[in-house]
Amino acid sequence: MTLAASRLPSHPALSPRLPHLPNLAQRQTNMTSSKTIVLEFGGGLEALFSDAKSLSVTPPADIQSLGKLITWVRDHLITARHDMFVSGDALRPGVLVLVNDVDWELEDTVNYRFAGGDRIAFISTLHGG
Amino acid sequence: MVRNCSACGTQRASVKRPKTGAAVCKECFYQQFETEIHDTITSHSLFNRGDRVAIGASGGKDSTVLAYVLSLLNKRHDYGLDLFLLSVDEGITGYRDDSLEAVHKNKVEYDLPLLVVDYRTLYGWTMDEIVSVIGKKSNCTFCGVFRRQALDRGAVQLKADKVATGHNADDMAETVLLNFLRGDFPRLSRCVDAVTGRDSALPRVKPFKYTYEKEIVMYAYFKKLHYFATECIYSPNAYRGYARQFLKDLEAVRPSAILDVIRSAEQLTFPPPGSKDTAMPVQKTCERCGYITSQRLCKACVLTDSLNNGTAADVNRKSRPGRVKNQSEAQVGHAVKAKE
Ligand SMILES: [Zn+2]
Ligand SMILES: [Zn+2]
Repeated sequence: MTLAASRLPSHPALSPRLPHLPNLAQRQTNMTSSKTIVLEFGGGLEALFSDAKSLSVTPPADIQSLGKLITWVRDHLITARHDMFVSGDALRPGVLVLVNDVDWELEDTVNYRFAGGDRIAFISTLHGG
Repeated sequence: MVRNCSACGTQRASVKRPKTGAAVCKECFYQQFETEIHDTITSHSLFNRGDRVAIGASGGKDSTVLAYVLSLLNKRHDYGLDLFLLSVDEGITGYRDDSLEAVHKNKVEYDLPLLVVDYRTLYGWTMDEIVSVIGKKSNCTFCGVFRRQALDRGAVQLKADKVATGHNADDMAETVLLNFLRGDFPRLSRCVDAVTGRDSALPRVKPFKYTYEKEIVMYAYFKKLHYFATECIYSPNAYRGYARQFLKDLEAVRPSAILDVIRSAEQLTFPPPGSKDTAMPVQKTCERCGYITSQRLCKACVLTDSLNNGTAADVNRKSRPGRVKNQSEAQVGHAVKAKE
Protein backbone atom coordinates (compact mmCIF):
# COMPACT_ATOMS: atom_id res chain seq x y z
CA MET A 1 0.00 0.00 0.00
CA THR A 2 1.34 3.35 -1.01
CA LEU A 3 1.04 6.20 1.39
CA ALA A 4 -1.40 8.80 0.23
CA ALA A 5 1.21 11.39 1.08
CA SER A 6 3.43 10.14 -1.72
CA ARG A 7 0.74 11.01 -4.25
CA LEU A 8 -0.43 14.23 -2.82
CA PRO A 9 2.19 16.63 -4.17
CA SER A 10 0.66 16.45 -7.62
CA HIS A 11 -2.65 17.58 -6.17
CA PRO A 12 -1.92 20.91 -4.51
CA ALA A 13 -5.56 21.47 -3.68
CA LEU A 14 -5.45 18.59 -1.24
CA SER A 15 -2.14 19.35 0.39
CA PRO A 16 -3.67 21.14 3.37
CA ARG A 17 -4.91 17.74 4.50
CA LEU A 18 -1.41 16.41 4.71
CA PRO A 19 -0.77 17.46 8.34
CA HIS A 20 -3.83 15.49 9.42
CA LEU A 21 -2.28 12.21 8.34
CA PRO A 22 0.26 11.82 11.10
CA ASN A 23 1.32 8.24 10.47
CA LEU A 24 0.50 5.04 8.70
CA ALA A 25 -1.42 3.55 11.63
CA GLN A 26 -3.71 6.53 11.77
CA ARG A 27 -4.29 6.29 8.05
CA GLN A 28 -5.36 2.66 8.35
CA THR A 29 -8.23 3.72 10.59
CA ASN A 30 -9.03 6.57 8.23
CA MET A 31 -9.60 4.04 5.51
CA THR A 32 -13.11 3.48 6.77
CA SER A 33 -14.05 7.06 5.98
CA SER A 34 -15.06 8.10 2.49
CA LYS A 35 -12.52 9.65 0.16
CA THR A 36 -12.81 12.20 -2.57
CA ILE A 37 -11.21 11.18 -5.86
CA VAL A 38 -11.14 12.52 -9.38
CA LEU A 39 -12.44 10.38 -12.23
CA GLU A 40 -11.43 11.10 -15.81
CA PHE A 41 -13.12 9.75 -18.91
CA GLY A 42 -11.71 9.51 -22.41
CA GLY A 43 -11.86 7.74 -25.73
CA GLY A 44 -15.60 8.29 -26.05
CA LEU A 45 -16.58 7.26 -22.50
CA GLU A 46 -17.35 10.92 -21.77
CA ALA A 47 -20.61 10.36 -23.59
CA LEU A 48 -21.73 7.99 -20.81
CA PHE A 49 -21.21 10.68 -18.21
CA SER A 50 -23.14 13.54 -19.79
CA ASP A 51 -19.98 14.53 -21.70
CA ALA A 52 -18.02 15.15 -18.50
CA LYS A 53 -14.27 14.68 -19.02
CA SER A 54 -13.66 14.63 -15.31
CA LEU A 55 -15.72 14.35 -12.13
CA SER A 56 -14.80 14.80 -8.51
CA VAL A 57 -16.64 12.15 -6.50
CA THR A 58 -16.85 10.85 -2.95
CA PRO A 59 -18.03 7.23 -2.97
CA PRO A 60 -19.45 5.79 0.28
CA ALA A 61 -16.90 4.56 2.81
CA ASP A 62 -17.39 0.89 2.00
CA ILE A 63 -16.20 1.48 -1.59
CA GLN A 64 -12.42 1.20 -1.28
CA SER A 65 -11.12 -0.92 -4.14
CA LEU A 66 -11.13 -0.13 -7.84
CA GLY A 67 -13.25 -3.23 -8.41
CA LYS A 68 -15.99 -1.90 -6.16
CA LEU A 69 -15.56 1.57 -7.53
CA ILE A 70 -16.32 0.29 -11.02
CA THR A 71 -19.66 -1.21 -10.00
CA TRP A 72 -20.45 1.89 -8.00
CA VAL A 73 -19.73 4.09 -11.03
CA ARG A 74 -21.90 1.79 -13.15
CA ASP A 75 -24.80 2.04 -10.70
CA HIS A 76 -24.58 5.68 -9.74
CA LEU A 77 -22.88 7.76 -12.39
CA ILE A 78 -23.57 6.31 -15.81
CA THR A 79 -26.59 7.68 -17.55
CA ALA A 80 -26.63 5.53 -20.72
CA ARG A 81 -24.94 2.70 -22.60
CA HIS A 82 -23.61 0.87 -19.56
CA ASP A 83 -22.27 -1.87 -21.82
CA MET A 84 -19.57 0.50 -23.11
CA PHE A 85 -18.12 0.58 -19.60
CA VAL A 86 -18.79 -2.79 -17.98
CA SER A 87 -19.73 -6.29 -18.89
CA GLY A 88 -21.54 -7.55 -15.82
CA ASP A 89 -19.55 -6.55 -12.76
CA ALA A 90 -16.25 -6.37 -14.62
CA LEU A 91 -14.79 -3.52 -16.55
CA ARG A 92 -15.29 -4.06 -20.25
CA PRO A 93 -12.13 -5.38 -21.90
CA GLY A 94 -10.69 -2.61 -24.04
CA VAL A 95 -11.22 0.08 -21.40
CA LEU A 96 -7.87 1.24 -20.01
CA VAL A 97 -7.47 2.41 -16.43
CA LEU A 98 -4.72 4.65 -15.12
CA VAL A 99 -4.25 5.54 -11.48
CA ASN A 100 -2.37 8.82 -11.18
CA ASP A 101 -0.97 8.20 -14.67
CA VAL A 102 0.06 4.63 -13.88
CA ASP A 103 -1.40 1.66 -15.77
CA TRP A 104 -3.67 -0.13 -13.30
CA GLU A 105 -2.14 -3.41 -14.42
CA LEU A 106 0.88 -2.29 -12.39
CA GLU A 107 -1.36 -1.53 -9.42
CA ASP A 108 -3.08 -4.88 -8.89
CA THR A 109 -6.08 -3.75 -11.01
CA VAL A 110 -9.41 -4.30 -9.20
CA ASN A 111 -7.69 -4.86 -5.86
CA TYR A 112 -6.07 -1.44 -5.80
CA ARG A 113 -7.30 0.51 -2.77
CA PHE A 114 -7.60 4.11 -3.72
CA ALA A 115 -6.61 7.05 -1.54
CA GLY A 116 -8.13 10.48 -1.23
CA GLY A 117 -6.91 12.70 -4.07
CA ASP A 118 -6.27 9.83 -6.46
CA ARG A 119 -6.87 10.62 -10.12
CA ILE A 120 -8.35 7.63 -11.90
CA ALA A 121 -8.70 7.71 -15.67
CA PHE A 122 -10.95 5.39 -17.68
CA ILE A 123 -10.20 5.46 -21.40
CA SER A 124 -11.95 3.40 -24.01
CA THR A 125 -9.90 2.01 -26.88
CA LEU A 126 -13.00 0.72 -28.59
CA HIS A 127 -13.95 3.67 -30.73
CA GLY A 128 -12.75 3.93 -34.30
CA GLY A 129 -9.50 5.55 -35.16
CA MET B 1 3.36 -1.01 -4.63
CA VAL B 2 5.66 1.22 -6.64
CA ARG B 3 7.59 -0.50 -9.39
CA ASN B 4 10.59 0.92 -11.11
CA CYS B 5 11.06 0.94 -14.85
CA SER B 6 12.62 -2.26 -16.16
CA ALA B 7 14.54 -0.31 -18.80
CA CYS B 8 16.13 2.62 -16.97
CA GLY B 9 15.71 1.30 -13.44
CA THR B 10 15.32 4.75 -11.97
CA GLN B 11 11.89 6.14 -12.90
CA ARG B 12 8.58 4.87 -11.68
CA ALA B 13 6.95 2.45 -14.14
CA SER B 14 3.78 3.78 -15.78
CA VAL B 15 2.92 1.24 -18.47
CA LYS B 16 2.73 -2.52 -18.54
CA ARG B 17 3.62 -3.37 -22.12
CA PRO B 18 1.21 -5.94 -23.55
CA LYS B 19 3.78 -7.48 -25.91
CA THR B 20 6.30 -8.32 -23.24
CA GLY B 21 4.72 -7.69 -19.85
CA ALA B 22 7.58 -5.29 -19.12
CA ALA B 23 6.86 -2.39 -16.78
CA VAL B 24 8.34 0.84 -18.13
CA CYS B 25 8.32 4.52 -17.26
CA LYS B 26 6.79 7.12 -19.56
CA GLU B 27 10.05 8.20 -21.17
CA CYS B 28 11.22 4.65 -21.83
CA PHE B 29 7.74 3.79 -23.12
CA TYR B 30 7.90 6.65 -25.64
CA GLN B 31 11.33 5.56 -26.71
CA GLN B 32 10.44 1.87 -27.15
CA PHE B 33 7.11 2.65 -28.83
CA GLU B 34 8.71 4.99 -31.36
CA THR B 35 11.69 2.71 -31.96
CA GLU B 36 9.46 -0.27 -32.70
CA ILE B 37 7.54 1.72 -35.28
CA HIS B 38 10.81 2.87 -36.81
CA ASP B 39 11.87 -0.81 -36.94
CA THR B 40 8.64 -1.77 -38.73
CA ILE B 41 9.22 1.02 -41.23
CA THR B 42 12.79 0.02 -41.96
CA SER B 43 12.45 -3.76 -41.84
CA HIS B 44 9.47 -3.71 -44.25
CA SER B 45 10.99 -0.93 -46.39
CA LEU B 46 7.76 1.03 -46.11
CA PHE B 47 9.24 4.25 -47.46
CA ASN B 48 11.90 5.45 -49.85
CA ARG B 49 13.75 8.73 -49.48
CA GLY B 50 11.86 11.46 -51.29
CA ASP B 51 8.47 9.71 -51.05
CA ARG B 52 5.41 11.88 -50.83
CA VAL B 53 3.24 10.18 -48.22
CA ALA B 54 -0.44 10.87 -47.69
CA ILE B 55 -1.44 10.00 -44.13
CA GLY B 56 -5.06 8.89 -44.08
CA ALA B 57 -6.35 11.13 -41.30
CA SER B 58 -9.74 10.58 -39.71
CA GLY B 59 -9.23 12.62 -36.56
CA GLY B 60 -9.39 9.38 -34.55
CA LYS B 61 -6.75 7.99 -32.20
CA ASP B 62 -4.76 5.87 -34.65
CA SER B 63 -4.34 8.41 -37.41
CA THR B 64 -3.69 11.21 -34.93
CA VAL B 65 -0.86 9.26 -33.31
CA LEU B 66 0.36 8.12 -36.74
CA ALA B 67 0.65 11.70 -37.97
CA TYR B 68 2.49 12.68 -34.81
CA VAL B 69 4.90 9.74 -34.82
CA LEU B 70 5.63 9.86 -38.56
CA SER B 71 6.47 13.57 -38.32
CA LEU B 72 8.72 12.82 -35.37
CA LEU B 73 10.51 9.85 -36.96
CA ASN B 74 10.86 11.64 -40.28
CA LYS B 75 12.85 14.33 -38.51
CA ARG B 76 14.67 12.09 -36.07
CA HIS B 77 15.87 9.56 -38.63
CA ASP B 78 15.93 11.86 -41.65
CA TYR B 79 13.65 9.69 -43.80
CA GLY B 80 13.41 12.52 -46.30
CA LEU B 81 9.62 12.17 -46.64
CA ASP B 82 7.09 14.80 -47.63
CA LEU B 83 4.12 14.16 -45.35
CA PHE B 84 0.53 15.21 -45.99
CA LEU B 85 -2.74 14.74 -44.15
CA LEU B 86 -5.53 13.37 -46.30
CA SER B 87 -9.10 13.22 -45.02
CA VAL B 88 -12.31 12.00 -46.53
CA ASP B 89 -15.51 13.88 -45.80
CA GLU B 90 -18.33 11.40 -46.26
CA GLY B 91 -20.94 14.02 -45.55
CA ILE B 92 -22.24 12.65 -42.25
CA THR B 93 -23.64 15.51 -40.22
CA GLY B 94 -22.54 15.57 -36.60
CA TYR B 95 -19.98 12.82 -37.07
CA ARG B 96 -17.54 13.85 -39.73
CA ASP B 97 -17.89 17.53 -38.91
CA ASP B 98 -16.46 16.97 -35.46
CA SER B 99 -13.73 14.59 -36.53
CA LEU B 100 -12.61 16.91 -39.33
CA GLU B 101 -12.22 19.59 -36.72
CA ALA B 102 -9.74 17.27 -34.99
CA VAL B 103 -7.86 16.82 -38.28
CA HIS B 104 -7.67 20.58 -38.76
CA LYS B 105 -6.06 20.80 -35.32
CA ASN B 106 -3.52 18.14 -36.32
CA LYS B 107 -2.71 20.14 -39.40
CA VAL B 108 -1.82 23.15 -37.29
CA GLU B 109 -0.11 21.28 -34.46
CA TYR B 110 2.04 19.05 -36.66
CA ASP B 111 2.45 21.64 -39.39
CA LEU B 112 1.37 19.28 -42.17
CA PRO B 113 -0.54 20.26 -45.32
CA LEU B 114 -4.11 18.93 -45.35
CA LEU B 115 -6.36 17.89 -48.22
CA VAL B 116 -10.00 17.02 -47.64
CA VAL B 117 -11.83 15.17 -50.42
CA ASP B 118 -15.57 14.76 -50.15
CA TYR B 119 -18.17 12.34 -51.41
CA ARG B 120 -20.43 15.04 -52.79
CA THR B 121 -17.76 16.39 -55.11
CA LEU B 122 -16.52 12.94 -56.16
CA TYR B 123 -19.81 11.07 -56.45
CA GLY B 124 -22.56 13.67 -56.26
CA TRP B 125 -23.97 12.12 -53.09
CA THR B 126 -23.26 12.57 -49.37
CA MET B 127 -23.66 9.64 -46.99
CA ASP B 128 -26.59 11.44 -45.36
CA GLU B 129 -28.32 11.51 -48.76
CA ILE B 130 -27.40 7.91 -49.53
CA VAL B 131 -28.81 6.74 -46.20
CA SER B 132 -32.00 8.69 -46.83
CA VAL B 133 -32.44 6.61 -50.01
CA ILE B 134 -31.22 3.16 -49.02
CA GLY B 135 -31.70 3.18 -45.24
CA LYS B 136 -29.17 2.25 -42.62
CA LYS B 137 -28.72 -1.37 -43.58
CA SER B 138 -25.72 -2.07 -45.81
CA ASN B 139 -24.96 1.61 -46.27
CA CYS B 140 -21.43 0.62 -45.25
CA THR B 141 -21.20 -1.11 -48.63
CA PHE B 142 -21.41 2.26 -50.33
CA CYS B 143 -19.26 4.03 -47.81
CA GLY B 144 -16.48 1.44 -47.96
CA VAL B 145 -16.22 1.49 -51.75
CA PHE B 146 -16.44 5.26 -51.89
CA ARG B 147 -13.93 5.87 -49.13
CA ARG B 148 -11.30 3.59 -50.58
CA GLN B 149 -11.52 5.29 -53.94
CA ALA B 150 -11.74 8.77 -52.38
CA LEU B 151 -8.49 8.17 -50.50
CA ASP B 152 -6.82 7.09 -53.71
CA ARG B 153 -8.13 10.08 -55.63
CA GLY B 154 -7.01 12.45 -52.89
CA ALA B 155 -3.58 10.84 -52.84
CA VAL B 156 -3.29 11.25 -56.60
CA GLN B 157 -4.24 14.93 -56.24
CA LEU B 158 -1.43 15.26 -53.72
CA LYS B 159 0.91 13.51 -56.17
CA ALA B 160 1.58 11.07 -53.36
CA ASP B 161 3.62 7.91 -53.82
CA LYS B 162 1.96 6.10 -50.93
CA VAL B 163 -0.89 6.21 -48.51
CA ALA B 164 -0.08 5.48 -44.86
CA THR B 165 -2.95 4.23 -42.72
CA GLY B 166 -3.33 3.87 -38.96
CA HIS B 167 -4.30 0.18 -38.91
CA ASN B 168 -2.92 -1.16 -35.65
CA ALA B 169 -2.12 -4.68 -34.46
CA ASP B 170 -5.61 -5.13 -32.98
CA ASP B 171 -7.16 -4.13 -36.32
CA MET B 172 -4.90 -6.58 -38.14
CA ALA B 173 -5.73 -9.45 -35.80
CA GLU B 174 -9.42 -8.66 -36.02
CA THR B 175 -9.23 -8.73 -39.81
CA VAL B 176 -7.45 -12.09 -39.70
CA LEU B 177 -10.26 -13.49 -37.55
CA LEU B 178 -12.97 -12.12 -39.83
CA ASN B 179 -11.33 -13.48 -42.97
CA PHE B 180 -10.91 -16.78 -41.19
CA LEU B 181 -14.57 -16.89 -40.17
CA ARG B 182 -15.61 -16.05 -43.73
CA GLY B 183 -13.31 -18.65 -45.19
CA ASP B 184 -11.70 -15.99 -47.37
CA PHE B 185 -8.34 -17.64 -47.78
CA PRO B 186 -6.80 -15.31 -50.37
CA ARG B 187 -7.48 -12.32 -48.14
CA LEU B 188 -6.46 -14.20 -45.02
CA SER B 189 -2.99 -14.59 -46.40
CA ARG B 190 -2.46 -11.00 -47.48
CA CYS B 191 -4.48 -8.99 -44.96
CA VAL B 192 -1.48 -8.82 -42.63
CA ASP B 193 0.91 -7.45 -45.23
CA ALA B 194 2.58 -4.22 -44.15
CA VAL B 195 2.23 -3.01 -47.74
CA THR B 196 -1.06 -3.67 -49.54
CA GLY B 197 -2.88 -2.15 -52.44
CA ARG B 198 -3.27 -4.59 -55.30
CA ASP B 199 -6.79 -3.17 -55.67
CA SER B 200 -5.90 0.47 -55.09
CA ALA B 201 -4.16 3.02 -57.26
CA LEU B 202 -1.34 3.49 -54.76
CA PRO B 203 0.42 1.26 -52.22
CA ARG B 204 -1.00 1.42 -48.70
CA VAL B 205 1.50 1.11 -45.90
CA LYS B 206 0.79 0.24 -42.28
CA PRO B 207 3.49 1.44 -39.90
CA PHE B 208 1.35 0.39 -36.88
CA LYS B 209 0.89 -3.21 -37.95
CA TYR B 210 2.65 -4.47 -34.81
CA THR B 211 1.55 -1.62 -32.56
CA TYR B 212 -1.00 -2.45 -29.88
CA GLU B 213 -4.09 -0.33 -29.64
CA LYS B 214 -3.59 -0.09 -25.88
CA GLU B 215 -0.21 1.53 -26.40
CA ILE B 216 -1.49 3.93 -29.04
CA VAL B 217 -4.15 5.12 -26.62
CA MET B 218 -1.65 5.32 -23.71
CA TYR B 219 0.76 7.26 -25.89
CA ALA B 220 -1.93 9.72 -26.93
CA TYR B 221 -3.03 10.09 -23.30
CA PHE B 222 0.43 10.80 -21.91
CA LYS B 223 1.40 13.05 -24.81
CA LYS B 224 -1.96 14.82 -24.62
CA LEU B 225 -2.64 14.30 -28.33
CA HIS B 226 -6.23 15.23 -28.96
CA TYR B 227 -8.37 12.99 -31.06
CA PHE B 228 -12.00 12.41 -31.77
CA ALA B 229 -13.67 9.25 -30.50
CA THR B 230 -17.16 8.43 -31.65
CA GLU B 231 -18.70 5.60 -33.58
CA CYS B 232 -20.01 6.37 -37.00
CA ILE B 233 -23.72 7.00 -36.50
CA TYR B 234 -24.62 4.77 -39.44
CA SER B 235 -22.42 1.81 -38.65
CA PRO B 236 -22.98 -0.35 -35.59
CA ASN B 237 -21.10 -3.05 -37.54
CA ALA B 238 -22.12 -5.85 -35.22
CA TYR B 239 -20.23 -8.67 -36.88
CA ARG B 240 -16.89 -6.90 -36.61
CA GLY B 241 -17.84 -5.95 -33.07
CA TYR B 242 -18.04 -9.60 -32.03
CA ALA B 243 -14.57 -10.33 -33.42
CA ARG B 244 -13.28 -7.25 -31.63
CA GLN B 245 -14.78 -8.25 -28.33
CA PHE B 246 -13.44 -11.78 -28.68
CA LEU B 247 -9.93 -10.44 -29.25
CA LYS B 248 -10.15 -8.09 -26.29
CA ASP B 249 -11.22 -11.03 -24.13
CA LEU B 250 -8.29 -13.07 -25.45
CA GLU B 251 -5.92 -10.19 -24.84
CA ALA B 252 -7.08 -9.93 -21.23
CA VAL B 253 -6.06 -13.55 -20.65
CA ARG B 254 -2.95 -13.56 -22.79
CA PRO B 255 -1.76 -10.19 -24.09
CA SER B 256 0.52 -11.71 -26.72
CA ALA B 257 -2.52 -13.27 -28.44
CA ILE B 258 -2.89 -10.31 -30.77
CA LEU B 259 0.63 -10.60 -32.13
CA ASP B 260 0.31 -14.38 -32.23
CA VAL B 261 -2.71 -14.11 -34.53
CA ILE B 262 -0.82 -11.75 -36.84
CA ARG B 263 2.29 -13.93 -36.89
CA SER B 264 0.17 -16.99 -37.67
CA ALA B 265 -1.46 -15.31 -40.66
CA GLU B 266 1.97 -14.20 -41.88
CA GLN B 267 2.91 -17.85 -42.25
CA LEU B 268 0.15 -18.43 -44.79
CA THR B 269 0.73 -18.09 -48.51
CA PHE B 270 -1.87 -18.06 -51.23
CA PRO B 271 -1.93 -19.56 -53.72
CA PRO B 272 -0.04 -22.48 -52.18
CA PRO B 273 3.58 -22.64 -53.32
CA GLY B 274 3.89 -24.50 -56.62
CA SER B 275 0.27 -24.05 -57.72
CA LYS B 276 -0.84 -21.74 -60.52
CA ASP B 277 -1.98 -18.27 -59.60
CA THR B 278 -5.47 -18.54 -61.05
CA ALA B 279 -7.51 -16.90 -58.34
CA MET B 280 -6.33 -13.35 -58.77
CA PRO B 281 -8.44 -11.39 -61.27
CA VAL B 282 -6.72 -9.38 -63.98
CA GLN B 283 -6.69 -5.67 -63.18
CA LYS B 284 -8.03 -3.23 -65.77
CA THR B 285 -9.18 0.36 -65.60
CA CYS B 286 -12.77 1.54 -65.30
CA GLU B 287 -14.18 2.56 -68.69
CA ARG B 288 -15.81 5.60 -67.19
CA CYS B 289 -13.52 6.99 -64.51
CA GLY B 290 -10.22 5.23 -65.09
CA TYR B 291 -10.02 3.76 -61.58
CA ILE B 292 -8.41 0.34 -61.15
CA THR B 293 -10.96 -2.50 -61.40
CA SER B 294 -11.33 -6.10 -62.52
CA GLN B 295 -14.67 -5.33 -64.24
CA ARG B 296 -15.77 -3.01 -67.04
CA LEU B 297 -16.87 -0.40 -64.51
CA CYS B 298 -15.38 0.11 -61.07
CA LYS B 299 -17.48 -0.54 -57.98
CA ALA B 300 -17.86 3.15 -57.19
CA CYS B 301 -19.27 3.83 -60.69
CA VAL B 302 -21.66 0.87 -60.41
CA LEU B 303 -22.89 2.07 -57.04
CA THR B 304 -23.18 5.69 -58.19
CA ASP B 305 -25.24 4.51 -61.17
CA SER B 306 -27.54 2.60 -58.86
CA LEU B 307 -28.07 5.75 -56.78
CA ASN B 308 -28.67 7.91 -59.83
CA ASN B 309 -31.13 5.58 -61.55
CA GLY B 310 -33.00 4.72 -58.38
CA THR B 311 -32.02 1.06 -58.12
CA ALA B 312 -29.73 1.51 -55.12
CA ALA B 313 -32.29 0.01 -52.79
CA ASP B 314 -32.10 -3.16 -54.94
CA VAL B 315 -28.33 -3.23 -54.76
CA ASN B 316 -28.78 -2.96 -51.05
CA ARG B 317 -31.22 -5.86 -50.94
CA LYS B 318 -29.10 -8.05 -53.19
CA SER B 319 -26.02 -7.44 -51.13
CA ARG B 320 -27.62 -9.16 -48.19
CA PRO B 321 -26.53 -12.68 -47.26
CA GLY B 322 -26.09 -15.01 -50.18
CA ARG B 323 -25.01 -12.33 -52.59
CA VAL B 324 -22.57 -10.66 -50.32
CA LYS B 325 -19.45 -12.17 -51.74
CA ASN B 326 -19.70 -11.04 -55.32
CA GLN B 327 -21.71 -7.95 -54.99
CA SER B 328 -20.06 -5.91 -52.37
CA GLU B 329 -16.84 -7.43 -51.30
CA ALA B 330 -15.37 -4.07 -50.72
CA GLN B 331 -16.75 -3.83 -47.32
CA VAL B 332 -19.03 -6.56 -46.29
CA GLY B 333 -16.62 -9.16 -47.49
CA HIS B 334 -13.55 -7.07 -47.68
CA ALA B 335 -12.41 -7.26 -44.15
CA VAL B 336 -10.28 -4.21 -43.98
CA LYS B 337 -11.40 -1.77 -41.39
CA ALA B 338 -13.10 1.25 -42.78
CA LYS B 339 -10.43 3.61 -41.73
CA GLU B 340 -8.47 6.27 -43.45
ZN1 LIG C 1 12.53 4.09 -17.77
ZN1 LIG D 1 -15.22 4.07 -62.26
